[in-house]
Amino acid sequence: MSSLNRSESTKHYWRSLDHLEETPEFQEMVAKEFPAGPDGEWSDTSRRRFLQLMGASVALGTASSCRWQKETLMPFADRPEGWVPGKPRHYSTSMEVTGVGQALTVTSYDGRPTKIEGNQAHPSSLGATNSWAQAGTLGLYDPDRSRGVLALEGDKETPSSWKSFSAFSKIEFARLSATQGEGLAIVAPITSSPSFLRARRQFQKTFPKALWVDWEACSYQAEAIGTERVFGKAARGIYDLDKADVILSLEDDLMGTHPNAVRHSRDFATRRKPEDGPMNRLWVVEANHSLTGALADHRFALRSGQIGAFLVALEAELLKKGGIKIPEARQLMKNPPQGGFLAKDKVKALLKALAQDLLHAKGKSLVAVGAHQPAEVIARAHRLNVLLGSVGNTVTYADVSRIPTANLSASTELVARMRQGSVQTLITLGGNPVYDMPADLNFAAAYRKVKNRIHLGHYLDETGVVSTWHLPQAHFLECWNDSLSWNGTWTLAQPTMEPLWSGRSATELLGLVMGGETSGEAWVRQAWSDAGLGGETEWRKTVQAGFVAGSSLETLRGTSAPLPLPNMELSAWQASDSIEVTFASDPSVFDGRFANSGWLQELPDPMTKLTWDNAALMAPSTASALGLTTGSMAKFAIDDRSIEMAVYVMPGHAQGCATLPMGYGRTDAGHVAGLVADRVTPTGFNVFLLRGSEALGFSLASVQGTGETYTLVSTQDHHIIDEIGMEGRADRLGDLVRGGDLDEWEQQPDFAQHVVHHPPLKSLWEEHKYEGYRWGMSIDLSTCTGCSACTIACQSENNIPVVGKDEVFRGREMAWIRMDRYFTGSDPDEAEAVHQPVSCQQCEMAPCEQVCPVAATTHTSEGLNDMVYNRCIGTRYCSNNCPYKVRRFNYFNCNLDLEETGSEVLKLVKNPDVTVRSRGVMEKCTYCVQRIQSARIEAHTHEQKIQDGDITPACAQVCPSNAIQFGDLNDKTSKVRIAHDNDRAYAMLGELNNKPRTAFLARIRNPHPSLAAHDSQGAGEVRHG
Amino acid sequence: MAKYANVNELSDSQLDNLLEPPALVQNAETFHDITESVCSIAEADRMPRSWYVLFTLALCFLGVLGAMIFHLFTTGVGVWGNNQPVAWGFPIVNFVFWVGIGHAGTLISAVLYLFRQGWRTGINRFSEAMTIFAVCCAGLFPAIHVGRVWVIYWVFPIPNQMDMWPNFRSPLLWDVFAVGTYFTVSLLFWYMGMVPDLATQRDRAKTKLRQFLYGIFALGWNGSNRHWHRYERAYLLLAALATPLVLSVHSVVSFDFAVAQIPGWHTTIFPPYFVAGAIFSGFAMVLTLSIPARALFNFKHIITMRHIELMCKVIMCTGMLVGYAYAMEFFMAWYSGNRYEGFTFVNRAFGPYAWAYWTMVSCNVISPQIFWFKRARRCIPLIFVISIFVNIGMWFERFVITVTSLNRDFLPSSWNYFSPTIVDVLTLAGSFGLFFTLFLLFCRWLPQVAISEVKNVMPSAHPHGNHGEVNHD
Repeated sequence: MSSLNRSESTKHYWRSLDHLEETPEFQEMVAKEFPAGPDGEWSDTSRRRFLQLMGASVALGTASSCRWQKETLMPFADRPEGWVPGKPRHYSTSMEVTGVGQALTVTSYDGRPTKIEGNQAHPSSLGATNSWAQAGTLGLYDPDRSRGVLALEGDKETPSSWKSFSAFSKIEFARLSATQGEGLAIVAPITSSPSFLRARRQFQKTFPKALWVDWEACSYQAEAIGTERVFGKAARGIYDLDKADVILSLEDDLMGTHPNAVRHSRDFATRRKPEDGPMNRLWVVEANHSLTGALADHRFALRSGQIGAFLVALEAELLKKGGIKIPEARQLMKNPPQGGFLAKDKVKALLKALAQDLLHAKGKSLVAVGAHQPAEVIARAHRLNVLLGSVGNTVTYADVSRIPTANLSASTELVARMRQGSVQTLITLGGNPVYDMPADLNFAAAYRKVKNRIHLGHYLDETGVVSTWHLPQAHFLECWNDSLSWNGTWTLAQPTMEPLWSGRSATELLGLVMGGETSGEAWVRQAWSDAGLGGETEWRKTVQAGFVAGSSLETLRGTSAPLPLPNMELSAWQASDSIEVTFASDPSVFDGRFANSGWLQELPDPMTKLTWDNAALMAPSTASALGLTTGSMAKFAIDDRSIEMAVYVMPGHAQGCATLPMGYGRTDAGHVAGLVADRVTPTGFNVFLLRGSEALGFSLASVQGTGETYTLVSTQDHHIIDEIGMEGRADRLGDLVRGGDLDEWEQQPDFAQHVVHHPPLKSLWEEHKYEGYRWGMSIDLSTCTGCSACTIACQSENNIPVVGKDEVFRGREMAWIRMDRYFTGSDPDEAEAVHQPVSCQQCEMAPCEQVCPVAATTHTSEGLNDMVYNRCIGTRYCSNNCPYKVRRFNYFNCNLDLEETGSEVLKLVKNPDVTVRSRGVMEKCTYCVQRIQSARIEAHTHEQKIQDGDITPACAQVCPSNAIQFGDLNDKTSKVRIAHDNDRAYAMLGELNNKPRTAFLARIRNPHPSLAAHDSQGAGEVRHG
Repeated sequence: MAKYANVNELSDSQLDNLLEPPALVQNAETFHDITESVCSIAEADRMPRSWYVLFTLALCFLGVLGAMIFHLFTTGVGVWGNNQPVAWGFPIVNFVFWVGIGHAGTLISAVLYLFRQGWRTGINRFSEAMTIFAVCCAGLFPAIHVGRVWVIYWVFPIPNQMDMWPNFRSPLLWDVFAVGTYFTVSLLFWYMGMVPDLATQRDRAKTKLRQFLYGIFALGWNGSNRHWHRYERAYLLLAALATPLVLSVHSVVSFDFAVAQIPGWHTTIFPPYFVAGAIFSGFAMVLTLSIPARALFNFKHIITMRHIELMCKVIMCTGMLVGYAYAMEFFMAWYSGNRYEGFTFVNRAFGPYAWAYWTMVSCNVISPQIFWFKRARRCIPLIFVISIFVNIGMWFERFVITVTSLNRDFLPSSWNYFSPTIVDVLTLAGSFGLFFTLFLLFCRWLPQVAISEVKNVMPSAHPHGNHGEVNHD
């Protein structure tokens, strides 16, 4: 409303005669000068136009919408006490995935969160995170996120508002409450949030007849059923890996995709350093070659469907040794499982050694089992923990019966009701059921029969586009929430900024439709006060800490109840058989929810090194029996469902099966992962089209090559390596990734330093003295799990751009710290994997420095190999001369997307302390020099030296297993110096006289003595003096 | 004199039988004949039709080069196939290739001059021009291959407000000096040698514009004894100055590789090996150019079969030198016992780039062996084909050195295959456009043969007989 038109009140002043008479000319002039607001403009706009307008206006308004505190927009002249503009602040919050909270600490610059770390005090994090949490900031600023409420009808999208939705919901839900929620259904993602569950209970009270469906693609339903048989209630194993001497993982990716992998890695690592006490021993039986498998001392590849049989055979072996009491003992002794794969000598020896090991470490052993296994296998595995006396020692079972799991029967029921037309209103509280429900249910078709389809989501995704209402969901950094971490610690989430696009949390939406409380904070606060934990002071302290210290779940004691035998199919796979396909969550995009993150799409899979795609993983022998190879397209079919998918030959994969990672092939994810409507091809292949409700974990499928090929892009082995390359690689691997068995270390602890002998190395010139600080890093290959969180942490900290599939294909990925993965072993089907993170080694005699014609890369007095971006002219000579090939070049302007209309919001994700590099400039790891500088300033103001631990580079900070240490090598007590002085420390390619500042600590494995000679394929065995 | 009287009636082989060594200039009776046949080209109103065809073609390719460079500057060096680890691809390969070609010019002009090899006179102007234009092409590539071309001037030691000097330890900086010096000296040498001939063209010019332009560049030359005296002195001095450059330029270029520590680059054999290779490729290019040119402009009496034969011998000799270098590299890789070095060479010959390696060996080592046969050395079409082979082989040599060493260096995790893009290929083709445009313009407007020097090796220049001073082979 312009002031010119507001003339009713009091006296009428006029400017001209035209004004007084309100002539048409004057009206026109007014209209021109003060055009009608957005109402007029938006009345008939397309979605694109809407997004453009929203993008432009919101980006312009972003600076002001990022508030420090809820209500304040303060001029610096009136600065709040203790507030220094440009100085980061840290807030505790948390992120929840599949009902498990991860405690986080968010770094925020002037109200703009830029970096996520783990919450150091929280028991499930201890300061580390996984890659999903690291990518949280990019998710927050994703330009593809929904930017407002949409009312949809067919293909027509009408921008609406929360106000209109409230008006709609008031009428609709008043009607529904009259019928007690008849015809109402909810699809909710799995959450352990006490505040949400409270809202849920209230909702179910208001709408008792409503159908509530918990759904997520990665279900824990089988685990709940299985554990219930042993513990009486749905239980969760909380493992203390630091206490376990012997760990058996039955296809449980403890250090990989397990919800508690961060803590597992930390605990596991404490037992992998031979000098720190007795090492543990990890046995892994699995189909896919997982990160946990790569860490194993003994790994046995077995298809998922035979794991149950393996477990029974193990029980029989344990019985034979007389170590345990099993209810079915007589039956097992009389008729022990035999034949098939169990007939192999190797397996017999393995079982024998494993049984011996478990019994030897009785009470200090641990059996873990994958959640996708059938309930009877899960029950059996956990019962074994009870029988071996591990419960209370290495594992605690917690009652999780109050935390919902994905509910397949409720989902089936819902689809049936929808098909009948008896559901009029369906709310999806953040999930994406159209995309990830079992394909045979045909959710999408049934969904269209629902009259009011309300979708709360971060994106206008596959479910969103076929809904009638799409409501923007608040990102976890934008809203109040809470959750339970894996060990039951009640973890809070506070917003670090106002919602960018007016999003609301699931709890807030529930509150809204119930006509109750709509403030997320109030819900969380209420749950907290209900627990009787104290008053305002305690509340503030809890929010500051981010969790309720000491909170936990109720523990359970198990029984040794008799259990039915699992599937005892023992025969080996024949090429004529169907193969078994296992549906696995993806380490990068999980179940597809993180698909639209460029960082995660470009993050190489830790094992396959594939970026931007998933692929069906198969053993080399299986693939060749089927006439397939890496990049072949194959058709997988179960019943009448089929998909075509590229194959990746995974060394060490079990025979006769394939692993299909979920979460790709998104048609409505966004401009990163696929948006068919905007002609953005989906990345990867959607395996949900194959996954049926008959078996969510694994199932038999027919496979046939289609004869077509597909370009899979990986960051390693960009092209298939020929014979000569493989020989050359095997020949040198032992020099690069040094390692050996425990007894080798016991005999000669510094064996790694004797792998390569060379004449004394002399310097061409007088070397630097380094009298002050002397920065250095160490990476312990014995504890590194290969999880690749360091790569994403570095990307987030150092503003590293995403380049896209084509550029990765060309070999131009930008990661400053990469995770090298090598396979060893003569039989590709039984290959073992080793991981080695490689970033700039900050050589003291840096080859790169000598060849730069313009001195753009130079040495500091503290030994850093500095890269001066604005001096670099881009000859790329430094990269050629770098033996580690850690330098990355901006072949194009990789930050052009920041300029695109609607994408300006991406600028907010950049770390203000780090330059955004231009086109034509070389870049590389700096040991996070910006963190060194801020620690220096801090120390300077306090007039003291930088202490050990004051500086933590992003990679070291995120590392779940504490494998990376950083500090001053001149300080004899610093952690990094101690690591450098460790006997296991060696300099990779040190014979080149580069004097790298990063030391690697040799990887030590602890094979069972009776099997050590049997499968000695460790990296250490490939050495050549 | 009688010896040469009936020379017109004899065939090449008969001449060989009769004369030992054969005359360096044939079918020309007088000094005037020489002047006439050289100057008439620049004075003609029209050129042979084939010149126009070639010139149009060359201009087209030059246009392609311009378009590619524009695309490059506006987009970024990512338009090429370069990647990590192969951060140097076609541009550096092309640079070394063109610098190598630029070698024969100085060698022929300076070194052969100092050794009093009279046969150089027929081809020296030609090859000097080739040198200048090849170095122009060569200089282009390092300049455009950098990521931020707009600050390329930072490689020059110019005092500046940043108080920053270039890094004098970098071989790339040595390159700047080496190639810069080479270009300057070659240009001076070429131009100075041309002054008497430019004066001839000035004197014969019929139009005002030509008189004016040739006049400016002839620097007031009047053929006086004093001028000749000074000229000979200066020429000798420049020749002496240029001679070490023959060795230095390509040695320094080879340092780009040898100083780096990448296996396959880090070898002490590189400087002599590169110099031999450069002479090899330079002579091949002289042949590639002079064979059509002598036919086109009727220079068969000046650039005789004997010249061509001698060049074939040089090619065969330097071809074996590079062959020796290839073999020695392998031997050293094995003998050093260095695993990385050993792998690089096995990988070169049998790895993913084996096709490039064997192309190189076939073209450079095997194909010139045919010149053991005299008949082959006198078969013009065959020589032309072999010269093209050598050009191709020498380009591949640089490709093999640059790309196969980088694509699989120390850490297998970084190994990657390099494939050029269309922009790479078109830029290379475009550089030939630049080269031939300049060369054809030279053919059109400047004396292609050193008139005064050719006259010097004619018998009529030595009325008192051959004193054994000029005609040594």
